[in-house]
Amino acid sequence: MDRQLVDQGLKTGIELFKQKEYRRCYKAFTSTINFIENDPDLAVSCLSQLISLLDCRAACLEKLDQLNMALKDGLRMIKRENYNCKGYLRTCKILDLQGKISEALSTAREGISIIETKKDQNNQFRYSKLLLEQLKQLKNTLKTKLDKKNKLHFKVLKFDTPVPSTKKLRLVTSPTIDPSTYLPIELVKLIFSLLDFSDMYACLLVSTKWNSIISSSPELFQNLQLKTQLSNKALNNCLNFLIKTLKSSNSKEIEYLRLKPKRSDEKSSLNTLSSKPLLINALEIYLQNLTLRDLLICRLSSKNGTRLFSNIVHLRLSVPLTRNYESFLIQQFSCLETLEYSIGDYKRVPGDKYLARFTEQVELAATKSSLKTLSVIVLPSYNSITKHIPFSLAFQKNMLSNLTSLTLTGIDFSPVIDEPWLGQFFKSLSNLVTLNLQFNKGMNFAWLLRNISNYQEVLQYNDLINNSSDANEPSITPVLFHSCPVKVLVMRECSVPALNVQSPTPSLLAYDSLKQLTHLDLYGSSISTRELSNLIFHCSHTLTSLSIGNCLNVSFPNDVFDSRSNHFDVNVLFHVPNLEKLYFNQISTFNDYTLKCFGETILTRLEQYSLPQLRWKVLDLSFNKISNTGLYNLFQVSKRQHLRLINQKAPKLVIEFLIIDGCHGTDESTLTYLKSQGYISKYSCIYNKDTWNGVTVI
Amino acid sequence: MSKEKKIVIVSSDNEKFTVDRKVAEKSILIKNMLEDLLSNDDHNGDNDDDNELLRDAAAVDSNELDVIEIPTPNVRSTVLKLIIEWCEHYKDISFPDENQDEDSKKTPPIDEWDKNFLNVDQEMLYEIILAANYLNIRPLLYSGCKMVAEMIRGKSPEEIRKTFNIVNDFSPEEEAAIRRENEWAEDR
Repeated sequence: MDRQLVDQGLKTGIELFKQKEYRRCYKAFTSTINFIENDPDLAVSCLSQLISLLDCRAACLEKLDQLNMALKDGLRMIKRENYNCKGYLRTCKILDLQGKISEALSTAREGISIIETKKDQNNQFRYSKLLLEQLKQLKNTLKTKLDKKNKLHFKVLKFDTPVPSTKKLRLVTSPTIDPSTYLPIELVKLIFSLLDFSDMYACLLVSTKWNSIISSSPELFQNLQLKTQLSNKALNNCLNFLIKTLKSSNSKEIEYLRLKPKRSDEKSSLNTLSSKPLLINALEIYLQNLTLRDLLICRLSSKNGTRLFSNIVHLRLSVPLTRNYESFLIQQFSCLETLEYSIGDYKRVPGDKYLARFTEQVELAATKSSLKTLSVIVLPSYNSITKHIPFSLAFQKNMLSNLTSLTLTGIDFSPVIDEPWLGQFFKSLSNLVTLNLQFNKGMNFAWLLRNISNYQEVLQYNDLINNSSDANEPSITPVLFHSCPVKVLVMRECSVPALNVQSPTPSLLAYDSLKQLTHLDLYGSSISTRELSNLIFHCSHTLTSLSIGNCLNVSFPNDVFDSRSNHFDVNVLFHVPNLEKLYFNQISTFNDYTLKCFGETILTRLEQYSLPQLRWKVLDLSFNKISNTGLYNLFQVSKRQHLRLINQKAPKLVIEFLIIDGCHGTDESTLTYLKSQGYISKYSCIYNKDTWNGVTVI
Repeated sequence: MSKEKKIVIVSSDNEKFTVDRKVAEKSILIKNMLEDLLSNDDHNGDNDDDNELLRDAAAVDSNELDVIEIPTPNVRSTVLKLIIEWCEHYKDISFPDENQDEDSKKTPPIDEWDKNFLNVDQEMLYEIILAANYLNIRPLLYSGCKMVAEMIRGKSPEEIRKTFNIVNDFSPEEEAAIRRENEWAEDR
């Protein structure tokens, strides 16, 4: 009965609205709405009618220009039925009319999110697709409108000086939104994955939604950089949390764990770590109190420890120096592929006695290790105390022939440099790709060249063939020299005596082992000009990066009257087609004249080959005695201008990144000019730098 | 035949943007699409070369083919405009491993230009992220996500809630429990 009355009221109102009798129409709607709202039962049963009535009244009020009252109706609609599009549509429209675009936008957004959630939660939920589409469209129009408005706002502000800080402006105009409601979950996870491990804790506490996303994403906990000075209790909690999180993916594996335990908790932390059912792929561990021996004992003493440690593939270890345990490390960590070993501190351990006891338990077998990358960093001061060469046992027992990358830094080889096992070790590295030797005492370039190559074996093979007179003997097909694939060679010497008495030039065969070099860094080595040219010739087809700064025995042409021929000839570089990066820094014989020779040679060569340009990615001339003139001459600026004037082709040298740090004869205006003319695209000229930091290797 | 084809990208609200192929191909989605389309064209081209008459006859058609329309039904024009601006800026830079899934953690810190470019309100930023994800523009996707990550980095939970207008819906007991269990990360 009452419902019929309500329907009747609605009908009459709409009729009046059509006749544009807005005032009467308003009254009709109001009386019907009051009628419904005064009766609680009716309000429930006629909810959809009530919404329609409110909607119509709001429309009516719009026509009467009573926007505030209309807005109230709109908001009432949302309150009555917060999953009904109609309310949001109406409210947004009115807010838009009032010019409150950003409020309208946030209302629309809220509406869409509520309806979408409801839709996802409940299959039975009935809603009008059409209206939802309308709401979405409205949201987009509003957004576009707001963007335009903001832009206008900016433009106006730009003319008004001073410009207020944009931050303030952003606070006023831009709404803040939870990314986890706006973006799909995989993108939210991507964002989390870009955060540091230490930020995860804060994120876990933000909201239940964030918490559940994070704690159900074990992939976020694959790179664990635990904070330093971690107590054992905290480590325990952390590992428990991880195990709980990992359970959801039925995995026990962690990709990366960095552990720097509290000094007093080192032992208990190690025990905690080895007691958990976790597998770690890469472990980075810093110990100050415990030694390698303690680590090995821990590995041997518990069952879980054995499993944990023997599954580690990458290990970065910083422990106090103790003699002779390193080789056991290689044996005991049987999956190890990468080992970075740095000696954090020197700790005097009564070595031999303990070692004897230790070797009773474990025997060092001469098994080949799976180790691919070994890097050893020793601070020279510790080395001078102990005169110990880490891994020497493994070197001697030929355990490391699978190595592809070897880095040795700061070791004093002088007492053992002539021992056959050391040379033998280098010769056995037939898979080596990267060799990085820096600041090792007693090891110089000539020694390396003698020992890295296999030419001695080749000679022996030849002897064998000549001597074997019996043709029926199974012929030994001599692998003449298996192409040693070293691609990256860094050889920086500890101290190079000036005017080194040059050793006899090694046979050219020696260079063959380096013929696939791509990256050659001989900064501060004892190589001579001739050896360098030979070397470049031999690896010319593959070489891309060359660093020959601070080589005392390599000289550059630096004086018109100096006609000696043993200078570095820039023509050599034309035999290197793929050259990209050149580092000529801190060279005592490098000056403006050198640059002029370079510039002239390059131009002539380019003309000769009729090439339009030569392009290098990096040219580092830092800490040389060069000036602006030298730079102009390097690029042959005036000669090229002249050539262009007489309409001839003027080939160009282009450097993408020119480094002239610490070259006091130059100034920035020259560089700006060169940049504007397209000779260089980027430059660095830090004049107050006093030391050269070095080329980043690889 | 060698004439550069025009690419027209159409936004969800039907606005059209004409761009160079090089610019459009910053989007791997579009790049793959174009490769499919144009490789078919090349086939036709080969056949046409055999017969000049035929080629003349096809001229009208190929003229029409010179314009390739690509609809992006998920991207609004305001967002698409920004995306194209980004692609224009990077058109001469080729990103390493554009197709490969490299380790996200090794990606370098956010580029200074991108930082300025992405200095927009949060919703626009999210829309750019969504569009970059849809169009498969990895460097932009990562830059966008890094911008959001930067908003989180180093903040307390309360500060993060403020930044994103999030309501703390933990009960005090729940919150205390999480704090207790996660002592490992506290007092950074």
